[in-house]
Amino acid sequence: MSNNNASNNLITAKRAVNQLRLEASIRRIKVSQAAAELRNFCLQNASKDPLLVGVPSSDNPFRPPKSCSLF
Amino acid sequence: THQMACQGLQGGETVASLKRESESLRKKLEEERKKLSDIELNQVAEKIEVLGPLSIKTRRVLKGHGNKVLCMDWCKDKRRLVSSSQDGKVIVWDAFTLNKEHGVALPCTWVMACAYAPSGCAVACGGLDNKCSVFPLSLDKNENLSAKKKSVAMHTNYVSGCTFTSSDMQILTSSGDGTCALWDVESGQLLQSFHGHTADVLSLDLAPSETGNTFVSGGCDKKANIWDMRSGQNIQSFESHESDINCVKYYPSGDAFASASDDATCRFYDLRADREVAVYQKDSVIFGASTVDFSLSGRLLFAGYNDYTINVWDVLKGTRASILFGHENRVSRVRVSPDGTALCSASWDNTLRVSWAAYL
Repeated sequence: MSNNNASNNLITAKRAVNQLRLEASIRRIKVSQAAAELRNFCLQNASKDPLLVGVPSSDNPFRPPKSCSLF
Repeated sequence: THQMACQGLQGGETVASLKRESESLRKKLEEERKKLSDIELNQVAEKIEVLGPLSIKTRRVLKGHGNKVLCMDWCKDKRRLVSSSQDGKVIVWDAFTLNKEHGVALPCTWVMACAYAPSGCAVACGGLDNKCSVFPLSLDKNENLSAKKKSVAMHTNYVSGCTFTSSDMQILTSSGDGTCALWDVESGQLLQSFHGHTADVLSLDLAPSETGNTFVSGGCDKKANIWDMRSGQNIQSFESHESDINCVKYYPSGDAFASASDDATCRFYDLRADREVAVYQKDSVIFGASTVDFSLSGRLLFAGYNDYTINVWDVLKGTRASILFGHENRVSRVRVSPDGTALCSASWDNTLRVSWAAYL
C-alpha cells in the first residue's frame, strides 16, 4: 500500500514539474505591446459598440412597441 | 497514464527533489512575467478620452421562473434566450415580445448551466443532476420537450457550465468534480477531458472562433486555466485572485479574458503577455462578483455582484463607468446579446432583465 502511495506522490510531483516547465517555456510579449493592442482593438470597434454609443430609437428592436391603428 | 509518467522519471528523482524543482520553476515563471511588465494597462489608456455618461436602461423584465435564475444564454438570432432556474425549469423566451416559447421541467433542482445551440434549434442544460442534456426545440408548441431529451455529459459532481462548440455536435462542460470535458452530442461519447484544477470548476468560455481551439476555465482553486481542446493540455495558468473564480469570459479579440471572483474583484489577463494586466475593484465594492461579460468593442466590462448591482467597468482605464440597479437579489449572470445591442441579466430575484443604451 505504502509503495503505491509513494509512486503516486512521485507521479503527481513529476506531472507538476512537467506542467510548470511547459508554462515557463511559452513565448511572452511585453505588457506595453499587449496593452497597446488591447487599446487599439477597443478604439477601432468603439463606434460600432451599441452599449457604448447607444442605438437610435427607431433602429432598436427592443424599443417599446408602438400601438397600431387599424383603418 | 501511470506507465508514461513513470517513464518520464529520471534516475534519482525523489518527491523532495521534484518539489524543489517545482518551487524554482514557479519563481522563474514569476520573474519572466515581471521582466515584461514594463507598464500598466491604465497608463497606456491615459491619453484616451474619458467615457461620457452611459445611459443603459432596463426595457424588459422577464417573469416566470418560480425561483432563483441561475444561468441564461442568448440565441444567435439576437432576440431569443434560454434561462434556467433553481426550480428545475428551463425556459426559452422571445425577449422582444416577452413570449415564453418553450418550457421544460428537469427532474433535478439547481439547473446551474444552460446554453443555446448555434443553430438555434436546441438547448443544453445541466446542474445538480451531474449531467448535461440536450433538448431539440420543436416548432410544435404542444410537443413535450422532455420526451426528446438526450443525456450527453456525465460528471461525478454538479455541472456548473456548458457551451456548444462551433456546431450543435459538441458540448463543453465544467463541473464540481474539478474537470472540464468535451462531448459528442449524438453519441454521448467523451471526446476529451481536461484535468488540472484542484477544486470545483465553476465556469468556462470558448475562445472566439478566429482564435482557434482553446477555452478558459476558472474555479474554486482560484486559478484560471487556458486549455487546448484537441490535446487536453493546460497551456497557461493564472493565479492572482484571492478567492473562488465564479466566471471567466474572453475579450472579443480573443487575446485576453476577464474573471469575476468572491474576492470582490474582477481581473483582466492578457494571454500573450501571460499575466494579469488590470484589477477592477473599489473600496465600496465588498461583495463577491459572480459574472462578467464584455461589450462588443471590449471597452466595457459588465459585472454582476452579490450586492444585487451590476458594475460597468472601463476596461482600459480601470475605473467604474456606471452602476446598474434594479435586481432585488444577487445577479447570477450577465450576457451581452450577439450583436452587442442588449445586456441580459439573470438574478436570484427570479427575474431576467434586458437593458440597452439610449442614443445620446
